[in-house]
Amino acid sequence: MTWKELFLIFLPVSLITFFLKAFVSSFFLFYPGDILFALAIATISLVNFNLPSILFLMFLGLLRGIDTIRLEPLWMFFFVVCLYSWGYTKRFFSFRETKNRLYAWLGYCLIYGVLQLFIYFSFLESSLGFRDYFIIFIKWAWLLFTTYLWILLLYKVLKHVFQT
Amino acid sequence: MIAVLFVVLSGFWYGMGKKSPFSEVLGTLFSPLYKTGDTFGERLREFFSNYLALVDLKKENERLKKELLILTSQLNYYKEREGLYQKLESFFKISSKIRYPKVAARIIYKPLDPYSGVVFIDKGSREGILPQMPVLAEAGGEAVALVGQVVEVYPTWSKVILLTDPSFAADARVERTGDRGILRGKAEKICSLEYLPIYSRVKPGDVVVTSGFDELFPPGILIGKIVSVSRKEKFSGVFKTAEVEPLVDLYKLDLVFVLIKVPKIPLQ
Repeated sequence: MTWKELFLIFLPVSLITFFLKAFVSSFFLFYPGDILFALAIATISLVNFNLPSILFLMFLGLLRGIDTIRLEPLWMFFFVVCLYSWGYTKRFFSFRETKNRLYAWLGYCLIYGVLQLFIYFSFLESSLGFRDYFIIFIKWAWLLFTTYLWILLLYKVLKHVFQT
Repeated sequence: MIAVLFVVLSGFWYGMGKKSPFSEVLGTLFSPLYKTGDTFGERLREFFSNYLALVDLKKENERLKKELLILTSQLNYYKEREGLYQKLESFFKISSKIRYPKVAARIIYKPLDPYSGVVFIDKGSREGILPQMPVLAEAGGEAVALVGQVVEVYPTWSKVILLTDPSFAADARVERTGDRGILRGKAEKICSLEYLPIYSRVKPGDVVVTSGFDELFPPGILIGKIVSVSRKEKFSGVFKTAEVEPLVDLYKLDLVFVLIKVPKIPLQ
């Protein structure tokens, strides 16, 4: 990622995505999936590990963390780790192949889902019953499914913008 | 000869009927043509005059449409304001027993995160809001109920955790029996009321209010209704746990009220 790409492509797309997230959740009154995480994954699939990309991922992490209580640094760190690990694993797997990329995205979604559960249970002090666990699982599955769909969509959009 | 005869005859004709035979013949012959031309001309004139009038009318119509649009938007704005004032009036009327000052705030962002319950409001430290202050909302136009607590405050906006957030906790009391417990969120529509005494006779339908012992929430503020009661194995059967459904629909929150109650135990 170059500085020019950062300011002309990625930052405007991230702001549009943030607006879209706020709009969808307020208008439809349901959680639309983690669009900002999806944008982060779509971004790391297209860019290299350098200063503009690190700053952009930190910015996305900050936007993602706004929804939480004092967890902004955690999300910034997680997004940068995702960027680094993608670059690292690229040495061993060919992410140019769609199939590999799809598996990698699924893996990242699962890691993200585990982190979400970890945060949830670390804050939770209430005792849960079977019904509660079932609901948590359903919500988890929904979260991962919708986020995965957003990754597919945003990757297409970003790739198109990148190529043109 | 013929011409002379014709002139003489036409003179007689004119003398008898006072009409010119030339005019009569020509008139008879050309009258359909005159009529057609006249009608056509008149129609054409009408058409153009109507067209010009239509052009004016169209302009007027567009102007009126714009005016209507502006007036409709103004009407909607005033209706919205009226609704807001009615809500405020209703809230202040039914919350007159709560002696703390209140700041009305609008929800500006609802992330609807599946594992938390955070909303953003449009009032902050400039209005005197501090962390830990209770947040209330109108419940069905008849009462006010607790919906959450302020956690982070910025000059023009604040973050509020709802009752359903996993990090929310409040000392609560069952109104009918007086039994106390800790109300906790778990990122679902219902909350848990834990540590109720084992001998407690709470039952579904009982109203839960704040006890006031936690020094965060004033006593007697409505929270919700019990929907089920169970005895959790986790606590070796020493305590009962109840599920509490908040009185306010937290998904449809739009207007809330922050109680300006300075916390006695400040945040570290």
